[in-house]
Amino acid sequence: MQGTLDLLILQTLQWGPQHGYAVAQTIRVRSGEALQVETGSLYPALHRLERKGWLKSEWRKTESSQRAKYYRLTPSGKKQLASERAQWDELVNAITGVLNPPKRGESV
Amino acid sequence: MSFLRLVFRRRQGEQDLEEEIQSHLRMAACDRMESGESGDEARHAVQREFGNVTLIKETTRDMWGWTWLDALLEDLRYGLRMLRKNPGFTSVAVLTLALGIGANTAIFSVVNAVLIHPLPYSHPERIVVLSGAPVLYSTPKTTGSYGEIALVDWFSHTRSFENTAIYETGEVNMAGAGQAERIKASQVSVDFFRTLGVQPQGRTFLPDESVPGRGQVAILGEPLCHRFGAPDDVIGRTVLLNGMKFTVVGVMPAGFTFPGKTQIWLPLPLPWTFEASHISADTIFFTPIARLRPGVSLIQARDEVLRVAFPASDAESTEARKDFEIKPLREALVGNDRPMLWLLLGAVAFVLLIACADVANLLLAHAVVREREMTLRAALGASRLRLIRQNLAESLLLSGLGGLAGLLLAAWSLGGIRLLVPSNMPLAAPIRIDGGVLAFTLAVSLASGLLFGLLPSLHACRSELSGSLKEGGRLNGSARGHLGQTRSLLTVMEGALSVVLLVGAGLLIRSFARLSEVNPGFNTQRLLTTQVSLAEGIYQAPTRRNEYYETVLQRVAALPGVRSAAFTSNLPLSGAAVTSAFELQVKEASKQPPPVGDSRDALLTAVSPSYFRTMGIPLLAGRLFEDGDRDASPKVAIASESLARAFWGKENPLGKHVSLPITPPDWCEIVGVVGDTRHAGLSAEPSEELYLPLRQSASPTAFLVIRTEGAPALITAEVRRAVAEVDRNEPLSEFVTMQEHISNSMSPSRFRTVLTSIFAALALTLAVVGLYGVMSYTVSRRTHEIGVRMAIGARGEDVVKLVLGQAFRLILLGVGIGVIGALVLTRLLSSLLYGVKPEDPLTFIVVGLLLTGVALLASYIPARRATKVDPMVALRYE
Repeated sequence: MQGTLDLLILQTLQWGPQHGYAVAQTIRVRSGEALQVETGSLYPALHRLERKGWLKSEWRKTESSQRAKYYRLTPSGKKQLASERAQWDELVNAITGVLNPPKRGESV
Repeated sequence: MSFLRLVFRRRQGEQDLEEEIQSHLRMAACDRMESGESGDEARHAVQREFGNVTLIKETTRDMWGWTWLDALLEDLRYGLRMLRKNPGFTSVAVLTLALGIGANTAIFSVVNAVLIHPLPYSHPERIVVLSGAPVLYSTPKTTGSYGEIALVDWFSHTRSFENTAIYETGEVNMAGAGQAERIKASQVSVDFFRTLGVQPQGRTFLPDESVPGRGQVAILGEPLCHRFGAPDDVIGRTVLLNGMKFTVVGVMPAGFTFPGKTQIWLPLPLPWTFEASHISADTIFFTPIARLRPGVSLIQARDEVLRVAFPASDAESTEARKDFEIKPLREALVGNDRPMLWLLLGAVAFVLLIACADVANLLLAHAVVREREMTLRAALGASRLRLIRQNLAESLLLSGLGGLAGLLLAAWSLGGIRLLVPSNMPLAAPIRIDGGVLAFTLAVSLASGLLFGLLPSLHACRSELSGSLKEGGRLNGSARGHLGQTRSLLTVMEGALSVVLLVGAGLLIRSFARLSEVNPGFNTQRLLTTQVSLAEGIYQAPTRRNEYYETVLQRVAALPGVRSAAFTSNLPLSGAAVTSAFELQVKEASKQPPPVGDSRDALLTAVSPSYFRTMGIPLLAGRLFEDGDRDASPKVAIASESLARAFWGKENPLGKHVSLPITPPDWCEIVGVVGDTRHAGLSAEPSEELYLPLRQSASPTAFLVIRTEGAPALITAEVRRAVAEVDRNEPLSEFVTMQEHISNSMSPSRFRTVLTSIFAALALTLAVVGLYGVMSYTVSRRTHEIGVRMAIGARGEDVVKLVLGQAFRLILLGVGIGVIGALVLTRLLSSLLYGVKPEDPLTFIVVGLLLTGVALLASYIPARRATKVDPMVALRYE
C-alpha cells in the first residue's frame, strides 16, 4: 500500500534526518525484519514526498564519512504525518472491531 | 530560457539520483562486508537485492513531475529516428494520412466559411429574418405613395426587437463615365444597417430620408466605390441612378454585400420599383429583418409577431399564421446548404477513417518487425506504459507529419474548391485556411494519431515479451493469429466504409446524370441572354417601352450570327422571377377532377411574338402571338400545357378566358397552348405559366434572348453596340448563355457530386491499398505453409485460389456490412437525390461488383507472388 509506505517513511524520519538506505534499514529493523522495503518503491516514494514538500533533502557525510543524500521532515511533513497517523489509527481500530466482534451476550 | 533551465535541472537531478543510488549500494555493501562477506559477494548480493537500477531510476524520475516533457522529447526524438530509418513505410503512411486529413481540412474550410465563421455583424445570433407576415408589403400603385407602408405600424412597435428593417433587392442603371451599366442594388429601410450592426464609412440613412422625394442618397459597396476613388473623395459626390442624381453618403466596409451581392444601397422608398417581372404588380414583397432584444428568445418573438400581426381569428388568419416563419439570419441564409455540407463532412470523415485503418495496418505489420526491439527494450527495463507511450509518440509524429502534408494538400486544392462552390452559397468569410481550420486540422491529426496508434500500442503491450526473445525472433503463434485477425478486421471495415461512400457517390452521380437529361422544355444550345430595365424616365409610358423593345429586336435580329431574338419578362432557369406568381380569375373553370377553384396562381410571362421560335418551345394547339396582337386588339394569352391541364382538365382550353390582376380587369382569350418549361430549376416541376403578348402588357424589365448561329460569346460586343445605338442610357446587364444558367442551376448538385466522387475514389484506393497490404503480409506469413503445399503437389492455381479465397471472404464481409450501412445511411441523402431512389439496386450492384473486382485484382498480385514460392526456400524460411 502506497499510503502505508509513505507513513512508514514519514514516521522513520521523525527521529531525525536519514538517507535512503538508512530509512530502509530502520523500517526493516523496527518491524522485526517483517517489512522489507523494496528499493524500487523506496526511492520513488522519497522523491514523491519531497516533491509534495513534506521532505527536504541535502547531501551530507555519513558517520563513515561517505557522501549520502539525507532526507528530513518539513513542518508540513510533520502535519502530514500526524494526519496520516490518525487515519491509520482509525483504520486499525475499525479493522480490529471487525476482526474481534463483541461476543453475543454482550451485544444484547 | 526556462527550457534550458529545465534541461540543466534534469542533468543535475540525473546525477543526483545516480549518486544517491551508488551511495545506497556502497553502504549496503559495507554493511554486508562488516558481517563477514567478501567484497565481490557483497557487491553482487547488493545488486541483486537492489533490483533493476534502470527501472528504479525511471520510476523515480517519474516522480519529479516535469519529466513528461523530457520523456516526450525523448520519445519524439526516438520516433523520428525510427521514421527516418524506414523511409518507405513513413512516406506511405504520411501520404495516406495527408490524403485523409487534407480532404477533411479542405471540406472543413468550406464548412467553416459557411456554417461556423460568425457572420461579420455585431451579435449576429440576434439577427432574425421573418417571412410570411401579411402586412409586410404595400400597395404603392393604388395608394400612390411608397411612404405608406403598413409594416411600420406594427413591426416597429413590437417589443421583442431592438431594431427592425425591411429590404428588397434588384438592379439599377448606373451612368457614370462611359457606358451605363446595371448594378445590383438594394432598397432598405432606415434602420437596416443598425439592425445588422454594421457601420459604413460616412453615415447611414437618416430618418427623414425615408420620406418620398427626400431620399436621393446612396451608400456604395467597397468594390464599387473603388472604381471612383478613395472613400473620402467619393462621399459627397453624386451618381446617376436610373437617370436620377443620388448623393453618396457612405461606403460599406469591404466584404459587406448583404443582401445577396448588393453593390449599392438606397433608402426606401424609391421612386421606382425593382420587381423584375411585374406586369401590373401593385404589391412589393419586402424581406423583413430584425434584431432581437438581448434575452428575448426566438419563440417569444414569434409569439409576439403572431399576436400583433394576425390579430383576427378567422380562417384566413389561421392559414396565414402557418406560413409565418422567423429564423436566425444564418439559418435563413444557409438553410439549404447545411445538409449538403454535413454530407461532405461525413464523406471525408469516412475517408479519414479508412486512411487511419490503413496506417494502423501498416503499423501492425511494422510491429512484427519491431517485436524484437520492443522485447529488448522491455527486458532492459522499459515499462509497458513507457512502450505504449513510445508507440503513441511515433503515431502522433506520423499524424503530425500527415497533418502538415494534408494542410499543404488542402491549401493546394482550395483553388479548385472555390471554383466548385455554388456561387449562391452564402459565405460568412472567404474560403481559406484560417485559425479555426488550423485548429480543426490539428485536432483531426491528433485524434487520428491516437486512433491508429492505439491498436499497435495495445498489441505491443500484449505481446509475450520473453517469448519472442527466446524464439530468436520468431513470433509465437497466438500473437500472430491475433494480429492477422485484427488486420483482417480493419480491412473489412475499410471495405465497408468505402462501399458506403461509393454508393453515396454513385447515387449522386446517377441523380446528376438524370438532372442533365431533364428536358427544360426548350433548346438550350447557343442561347445568349441579358436583361434590360425600362422602369424610369421616358419609359414610364408603355408605348415608349414597346417602341424600344421593337427597335432593339429589329437591330439585334439583323446582326450577322443571330438567328432570332426575343424579349421575355421571365427567363426559365435564370434563377429569377420564380416567385412572381399571380392569381388568375378563370371564367370557364373545368368542373372535372381534379377540382379547381375559380382562381389559381400562375407564372405570368410577357413575351414578344418571336419568343417561342427563339427558345424552341413547341406549339401544341392554337396559334402563337402575332404582330397583330397589339394594344388595341383583343387581349389574348397562351397557356402552358400544365396550366391548361390544371385549369380546364381534358377540355379544350382554346377560346377559354382568364382575367389578370390588372386594373381595369379584362378577360384574355386563350389562343394557344405551348409546351412546358422549367423555371425554378431542372429538378423542379414545370411551372403553370400564362404567356401574354409583350405589346399588351409592356413589362418594364425584360430578358433579351438571342439564338445564335455560332458560339454565343462571339457576338456579345456587337449586340451591346446595337442596343446602345437605340438608347445609350439603357445598359444591358451581363451576358449569360443559357448553358451558364443551367450550369449555375446545377452547381449545388455538381459541387456535391464531384467532391463525393473524388472522396469515394480516394476511399476505394485507400481500401484497396489496405487490402493489398494485408494480403501481401498474409502471403509472406504463410510462405512456409505454401511451400509445404507446393512440395506435396499443389499447383500454382491452387495457391492462387487459396489466397484469393481468403481475400474474397474479407471482401464479401466488407461489402455485406457496407451494403447494410449504405441502406441505412443513404436515406439521409434522399433530399439531395433526383430521379433515383436511395436504395437504387443498380447503384448497389455496380458498387458491389466494382469493389469486389478491384479488390480481387489487388489480391491477385500477392497471390501470383505466392505461386513463385520455391518450396525449398520456403521450407528453409524461418
